[in-house]
Amino acid sequence: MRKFGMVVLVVLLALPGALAQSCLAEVKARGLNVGTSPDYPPFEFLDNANKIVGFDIDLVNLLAKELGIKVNWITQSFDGLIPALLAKKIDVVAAGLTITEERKKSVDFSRPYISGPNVIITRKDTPGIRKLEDLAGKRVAVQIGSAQEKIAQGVKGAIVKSYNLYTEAALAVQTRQADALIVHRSVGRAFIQQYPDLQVVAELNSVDTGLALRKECADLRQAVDVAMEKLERSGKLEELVARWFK
Amino acid sequence: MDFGLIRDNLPFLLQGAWITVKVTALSLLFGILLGTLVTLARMSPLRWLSALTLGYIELLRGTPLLVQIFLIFFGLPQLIQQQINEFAAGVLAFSINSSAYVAEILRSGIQSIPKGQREAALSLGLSPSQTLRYVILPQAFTRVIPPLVNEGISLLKNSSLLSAIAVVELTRAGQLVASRTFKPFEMYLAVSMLYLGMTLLLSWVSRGLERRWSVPH
Repeated sequence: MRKFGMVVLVVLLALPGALAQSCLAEVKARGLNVGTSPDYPPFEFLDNANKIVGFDIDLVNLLAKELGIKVNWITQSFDGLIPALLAKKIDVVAAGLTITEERKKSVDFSRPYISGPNVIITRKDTPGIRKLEDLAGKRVAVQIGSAQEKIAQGVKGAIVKSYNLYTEAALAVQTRQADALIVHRSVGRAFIQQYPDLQVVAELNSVDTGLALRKECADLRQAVDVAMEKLERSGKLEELVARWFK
Repeated sequence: MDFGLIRDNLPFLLQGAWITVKVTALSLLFGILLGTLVTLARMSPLRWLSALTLGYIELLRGTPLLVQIFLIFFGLPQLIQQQINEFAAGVLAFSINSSAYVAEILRSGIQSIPKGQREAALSLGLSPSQTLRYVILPQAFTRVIPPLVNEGISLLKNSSLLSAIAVVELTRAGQLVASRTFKPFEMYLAVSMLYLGMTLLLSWVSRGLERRWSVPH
């Protein structure tokens, strides 16, 4: 027991040193592990050659170039991204992540890099859904662990259906297995292009999207923010937005 | 470790476990009913019927269950222009899938009874259907209990696949809490303990049945 106490003591004493010993230096040495879930076009998705492409991918690559860091892309399920970040398997989550107060309790966010509303999407032949409250009694498809899932859960009487992938949630609406879909506008546009029988019926409040980082990696976050500001000022961020979202 | 989190979410997990039990029980029931018909068709003297059934069994055993679930949930509504709720789609997929395995279990049980018994019963003056009902099937059924319970256990665990079509069974319930709290370890630990509890219960019931229905050889 005393031995265990000693170990704890040593770890506790070493901890502040380890934390101060910067995340930035560590990722510069070994590369930045970036987690994403490539099922969220146009933020990140697989192209015809099964390569990960998208807005987030270009953005992180530009930021990393600015910082002189090598990037390792790690893909996994969306709802496992923040747990993987907290478990230090990845250093950054780049997955079109909405900045929410709840997530801020567990992780830090970079400067927001995209703002825009969430939208409600239904089939063109589904009547009577014009605002959030109309979803009461309706089956609402969302992705598990998403900010939109939270919005759907907040609607009294809505029956929330959480799918692993956003593409499955959209397919559920398309095949009438769900009545509506709540999704970020930019992603919703991609779905509507794919399924012409879907349409946007309402726009909700605007939300900010950011990169998530561990709280103890403040130095890395600051470096990312500085690099992001540079991209904004040079107009490169705008260029990127124009390329993927217009 | 945050055990308070498990305690707080236990009612929600138990709700999920109840759905798991319902899916498993219904699918096993329909699987056994349908599987019995499939066995009869498979053992039928009609060659074409037997061959058709063989195709059915191979198709279901040779494709992943998850794909079958997606086919029924996303594909069938397009085909019949009729919605199916995810619970019904799940039970349907599992019952059909299970019927293939149950059919093979029943067939091997029936074929494991020595030919001499059938010949003896027939020569004692029993009709073929009486032979089946009073001599062959009672012995076959006791032999198939362990593999049928095995099938039940795999159904119970495989029902976690229904999480993919948004059925809030035990696995999905755990995933929902884990994705809300960012604490996957605690949740999946609790979920696995609940599955273990259910499968242990099934094994215990199976041992009881075996003792009760054992036929002296």
